Amino acid sequence: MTRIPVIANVLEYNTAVAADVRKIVGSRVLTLNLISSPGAGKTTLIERTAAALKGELRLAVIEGDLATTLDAARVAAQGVPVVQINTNGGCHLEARQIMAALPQLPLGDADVLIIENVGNLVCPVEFDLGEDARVVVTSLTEGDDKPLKYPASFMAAQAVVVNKLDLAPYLPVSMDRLCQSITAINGRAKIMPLSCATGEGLEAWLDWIRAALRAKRERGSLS
Amino acid sequence: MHELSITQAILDTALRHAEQAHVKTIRALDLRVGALSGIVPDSLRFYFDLINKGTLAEDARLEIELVPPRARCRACGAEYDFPFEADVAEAWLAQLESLEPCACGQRAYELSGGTGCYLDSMDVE
Repeated sequence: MTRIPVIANVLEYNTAVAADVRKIVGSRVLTLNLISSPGAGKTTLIERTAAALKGELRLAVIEGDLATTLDAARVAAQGVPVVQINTNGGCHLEARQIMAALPQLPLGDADVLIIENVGNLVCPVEFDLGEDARVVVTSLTEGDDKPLKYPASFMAAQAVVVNKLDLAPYLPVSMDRLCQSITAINGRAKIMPLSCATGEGLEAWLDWIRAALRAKRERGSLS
Repeated sequence: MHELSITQAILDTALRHAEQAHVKTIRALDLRVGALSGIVPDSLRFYFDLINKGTLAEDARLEIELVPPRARCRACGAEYDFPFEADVAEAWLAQLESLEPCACGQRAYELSGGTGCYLDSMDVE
């Protein structure tokens, strides 16, 4: 018996496709990968973002769900081009699915591509979709312990949106503990508490998108 | 659930390297799996035994090393080992917060690494 070295990332097939997605999307469009547990408010955040940025930035959206086109219909109602991916039981999106969806979107007329991953705080973590930034959406109704229980999702995030801020008075949840946990896992993630219901805090999220887009385009023009 | 597609990727990677090396059979795969990757070793073994039939890896064992995350200084980026207990979040958070100050004098850490899935080597004949 002999031992042969390999040293291969077993997810290299996905990482390679993700690199192709980045090439096709190009340097003018900011790509965000939204990850959360089901019901945190990803789709509502996309709806609010589309409404607030109308006339300023053009969105395109890829919706990932196990089944139904319910989310795509909600996004389309905002006048945003959207492609629904049904994973038929698959617990996460993979780069090849994004690659297949791209030709159906008017990327030449878009500023921001938002990918709504399957609602799941575990499985999407290891799958690069070709995004520029990963955004975890958590919500106060999930409790303040989710970062500690699902650290990998938060570790890979450039930003964390804490949704349902309007419910804070009714919930036994500590915002301090939540933020402290996120920072212990990932001190660089920008934490943005907001309420999609009332609009409180939404402006900070919009500013983050604007800044991320600007930074990407400045990088793109330098390279 | 996602372990099936990851196991398929492990098998594909192993078979590709085995064919390149012209081996007759694969006896063991040495894998490094991040403790934070969300990849469950038992699940990998379960799926591996289902999908390796009729391949060079039909009788192969999976030797899986779980790689814990390290503590990274938020000021200077230096990294340190610390006791990470995947099942007890309160425990590792307390450990992270009670680490000695970094060589740079600061004392604020975050997690680093502990993700991914790598095929390091194979025992072959």
